[in-house]
Amino acid sequence: MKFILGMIGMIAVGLLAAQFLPWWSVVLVCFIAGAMLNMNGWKSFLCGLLAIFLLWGLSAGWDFHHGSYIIANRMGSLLGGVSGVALMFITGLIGGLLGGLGSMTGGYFRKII
Amino acid sequence: MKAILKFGLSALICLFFTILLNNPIPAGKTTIPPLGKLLNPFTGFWENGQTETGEQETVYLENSDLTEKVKIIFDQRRVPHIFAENIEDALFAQGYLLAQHRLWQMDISTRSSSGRLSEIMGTKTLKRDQLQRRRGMVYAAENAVKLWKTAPEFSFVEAYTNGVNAYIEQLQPSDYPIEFKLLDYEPEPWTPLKTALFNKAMAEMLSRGNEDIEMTNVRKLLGDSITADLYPQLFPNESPIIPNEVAFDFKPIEAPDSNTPPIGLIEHKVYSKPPPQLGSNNWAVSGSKTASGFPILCNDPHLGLTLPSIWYELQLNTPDLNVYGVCLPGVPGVVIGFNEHSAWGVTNVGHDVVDWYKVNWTDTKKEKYLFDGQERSAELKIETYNIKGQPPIYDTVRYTHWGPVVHQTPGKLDEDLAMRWVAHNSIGNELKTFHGLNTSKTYSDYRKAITNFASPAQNIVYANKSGDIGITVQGQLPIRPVEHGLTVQPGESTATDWKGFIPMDQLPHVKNPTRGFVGSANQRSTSTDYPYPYLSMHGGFEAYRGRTLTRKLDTMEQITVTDMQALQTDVYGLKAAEALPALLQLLEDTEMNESEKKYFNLLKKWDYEYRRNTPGPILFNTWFTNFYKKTWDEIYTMDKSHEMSFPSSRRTIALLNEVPAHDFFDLQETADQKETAKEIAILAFTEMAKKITDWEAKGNTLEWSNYKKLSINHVGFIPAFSRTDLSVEGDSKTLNAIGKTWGPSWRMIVAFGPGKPKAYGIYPGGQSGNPGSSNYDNMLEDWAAGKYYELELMDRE
Repeated sequence: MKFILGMIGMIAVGLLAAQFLPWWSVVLVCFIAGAMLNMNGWKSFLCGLLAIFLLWGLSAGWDFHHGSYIIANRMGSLLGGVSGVALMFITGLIGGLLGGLGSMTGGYFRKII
Repeated sequence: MKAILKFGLSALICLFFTILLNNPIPAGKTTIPPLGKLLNPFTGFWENGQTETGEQETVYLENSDLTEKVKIIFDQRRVPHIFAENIEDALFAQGYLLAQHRLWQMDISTRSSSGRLSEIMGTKTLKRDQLQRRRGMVYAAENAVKLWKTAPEFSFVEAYTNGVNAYIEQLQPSDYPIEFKLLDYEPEPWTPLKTALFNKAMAEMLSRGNEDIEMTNVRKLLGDSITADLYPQLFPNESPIIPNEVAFDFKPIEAPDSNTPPIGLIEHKVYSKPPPQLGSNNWAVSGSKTASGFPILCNDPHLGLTLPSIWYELQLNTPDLNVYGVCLPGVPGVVIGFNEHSAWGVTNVGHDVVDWYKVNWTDTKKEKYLFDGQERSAELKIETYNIKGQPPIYDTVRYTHWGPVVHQTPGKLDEDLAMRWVAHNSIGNELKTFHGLNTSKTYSDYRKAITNFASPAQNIVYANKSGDIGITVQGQLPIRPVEHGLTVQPGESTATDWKGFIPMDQLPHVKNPTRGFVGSANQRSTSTDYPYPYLSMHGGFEAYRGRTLTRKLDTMEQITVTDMQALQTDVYGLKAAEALPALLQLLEDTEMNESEKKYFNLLKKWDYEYRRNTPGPILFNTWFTNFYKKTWDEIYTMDKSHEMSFPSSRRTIALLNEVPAHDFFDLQETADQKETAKEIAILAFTEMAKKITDWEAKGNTLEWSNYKKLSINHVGFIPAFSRTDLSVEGDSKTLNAIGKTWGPSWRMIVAFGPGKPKAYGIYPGGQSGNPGSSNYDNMLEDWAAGKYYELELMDRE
């Protein structure tokens, strides 16, 4: 339950922060959430990973659907010849990696204070 | 302890990835853009998508700099029709919209012009930047701004600048054009200097051509008589822009030859030059030759084709102005277009406006030089190069009496070359010119407007509703003996200096000639009756297009818009028509294998039309290229350490037809034989046949459009944003002039009538400069197919 709620929290706050703060604010959000959730390392990592994978992947998907498919396909071709849809997935993964790392670091931080 | 270690390690990895993804990473020759910044869906590239509905849309622009709000109607192709209360408001809106659609293109083209690419690209563009600074591009642009400031029209460029900046100011990083995100930098404010820099980039592309260094070497290595034989400035049957009925009854300014001795070989390598094929067509036919009884005007400038396109279409409307046409991204007003009364178009004047002078330094620091028997100080300008990721570099550019020293040999005091170029101190005011043309109602309005235009010199064609047509060879053209313009000159005295510029009222022009049309395709301006010597920047005027145009227009009557579209997309190859019969004749009794026979027969049947599905163009062009190289093998192999010019194809064809036993047809590699045109033609044909047989064997069908492909590259050469392998018709020498990377950058036809003019146009690209927009390249296929769109001069409500 904590895991699911944590994920939802990270997605919501991450989305909000992205409207006002630089793109890397998502790492901070996950760090704080990770510290608050106080889960063990892997679980914390997975929670951040899944949350931001969904946030970034779905946001990219939304953009893709709302007019960004041309640029996504061109960028996919520019960044190593992948499709726009694949790039959506890669976007999610990169976001997920950062979210996971942020959340895990937050979790470990909680353990030392 | 273990917990601290875990936290520390985790934090390190987390920080490492965050920083890594926020910064560009050098990878060999390329750089991986900052992926986190670029890919995140909130400020990254995902925000750059833009799919247009294709519906007409009305928006209003409001800003404290505007006197009234401006109404903008975007039509289905996203062409803005701007309705403002005064000219400044209209130009503010133009600047705003150009920034909205073409901001990165405006940034990169002016950076490129001023030698500031390294600030964003790093050391790989440093050499190019240095060259631009040494050529004095910024100096030229600064001089232009100084001149603009003396005239009331300066408010136009100020209003435009404010419009661009109003758009930039409201941008969030997530709105930046994709290229800014990829190269990881921010837009900077626009300035009038940047507008001037854009104009100078055009001047560079169109008027920097010259062969002074190459011809100096040719003269030295081949001698005067061979040079005169192989490199004539004048060809028989010229078809000049100004018909021979025009008399030149004025007293010209004298320019005697200084008789300075030739200067010897020039060691410098020639820096890359704009492709010599760049040119254009324009013409106007009078009502006496049209079905409607009203004039029709046509223009298609052939330029390097890029995405985003060099042109942007728009209508500007105020109570005193109502003009439709294309503008350059960065320049206020309409460059080629029409209003309710008038239409105009431009082609490049091929006159050589660049000369090189040898500088004699008197000190080893190269600060003083010999001039008219005295020591003169050069003006030293320190250029600072801010390079991305590196400390800045400094370089001194030396300005002499002639202009900036461009070619330098370190350690040598008498080998540097200074460049004299009209664009450095141009006396024209483009703001006045284009405003004058945009608002012109009569022929005299047109003539008055263009006297303000100096560089790059243009053949400006004109037509109006009242039935007048005309053309003027307009620009700042130096007066000097042919000798001086042809070769590098000693720079020690005023004796070799230009004797001024052709006075504007003595420039060649014609109004309503008896033949019922005016036109130009970059050929010679006048017959030799014109009192000033005329010098081509590319070794004579072959005028394949110019002669085709005159011949075709001569025979046309009852002309309609459809006829004019057909003429703009005409693919008749006069070069092939002049060379092929003679070449085929030489092969009549030659033994051939199967494929050679096939090609020979295909060529015999060819009508010299460079159509998509014909085999003739592939065979002829390959054959002629081989023939040309074998003919001039002496010059290719003569002296590889000095740059040389090569004879024109026109002279080559003349020799083939008239002097088949000319010494130069002899092959260097066969010392014991003397070849003539016949042996060369056979060898060249056999080689062609082999090459094309191999090409066919790879599964290619023998059709011109399979062989000839057009690429339209992104301005920043990003392949994913470029279009390659486009199937097109035509050739560099046909009216529909298309090369591998250049072609008709805008086709326009304006037909006058009793009401508003009917106009048609298209350019190969789209209104949006955003590779993520559906309007980035939406007009490309129709352009390649030779289609046109109707251009609507919308009414003010």
